[in-house]
Amino acid sequence: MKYGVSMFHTFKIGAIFVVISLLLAGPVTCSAEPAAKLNIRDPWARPAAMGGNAVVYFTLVNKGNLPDALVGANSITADTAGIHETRMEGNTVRMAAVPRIDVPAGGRIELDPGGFHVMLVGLKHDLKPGDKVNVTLLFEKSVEITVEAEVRQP
Amino acid sequence: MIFNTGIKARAITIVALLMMAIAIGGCTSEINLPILYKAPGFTLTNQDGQEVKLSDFQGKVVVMNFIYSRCPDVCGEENYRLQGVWEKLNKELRQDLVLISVSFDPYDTPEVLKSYETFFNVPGWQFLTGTEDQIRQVTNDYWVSYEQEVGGWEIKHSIVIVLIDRDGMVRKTYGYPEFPQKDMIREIEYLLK
Repeated sequence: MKYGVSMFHTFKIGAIFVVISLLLAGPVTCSAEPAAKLNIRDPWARPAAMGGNAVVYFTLVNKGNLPDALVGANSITADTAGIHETRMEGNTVRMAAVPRIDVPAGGRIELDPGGFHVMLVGLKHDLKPGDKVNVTLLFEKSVEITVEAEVRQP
Repeated sequence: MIFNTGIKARAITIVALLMMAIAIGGCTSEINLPILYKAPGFTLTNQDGQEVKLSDFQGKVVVMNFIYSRCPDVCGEENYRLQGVWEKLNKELRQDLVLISVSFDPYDTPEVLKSYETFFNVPGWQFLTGTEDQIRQVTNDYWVSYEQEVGGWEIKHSIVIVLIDRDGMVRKTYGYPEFPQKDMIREIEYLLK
């Protein structure tokens, strides 16, 4: 009898300990980990011909509390893909490859005509208005995101 | 009190006259398109493989730019905006407007330009190419600079849009990044009338 009571008492203490541990672990785990939360809005591409180049534009939003960076792109629609920026150099303009576009925590970056864009080089087929083109975006910290861009004129 | 009323009335009258003057001035702002120089002639090849001379368009207003088809950002946007200008012009007047795009990329053969033409919706738009010497000549004549990346496809280039009147005289050039669409429409319509 004494032994049974002692066992039950021990069990009760252990159970209380487990419950308290679980209650503490939950909130501590959920709030301590910073993360980028990336979202791509309105991806679109200009019409372009097979063999040529195309551009993909979109808005990149980071709703998380950690900065991140777009560091590359790829697409089976083209030989190569990459991030470019249109720049004025004196009185000439060029589309320069850039290694990254930083996206601050809580910030947004617009990839639009005349600025940053994803370039698809060496298209394997025509891109006509109404078509869709898949592009996979690569990030420094976040997992890659594949977007479906609509081919259209703005 | 009589003195104050008189001054108030005069002040109101002066302000009203000033406002009328500003309104009238705003509505009738003059278009300034001096004759700059005679547009240098050229002979190039269009997307249909036809020989095209600038003189073929005597009597029409010409808007000419310099692009290449593998430039989808700047050149694509520029051509899209030119299409927008054409679309907003008075429909009766715009049949006397010719858009010309000269490519400085040897990749842009007539066949490539024929495909490129399908992305735009302006009847009669001439997409021109030529030999290296012909392209050098026309870009020099219109003060357009371009430089092909060694071993690559990219071409650094200046942006020049030339407005030529019915008599073959250059009246204005537009640059980048400004693209004053409203001004262009007014100025083109002025030359078309």
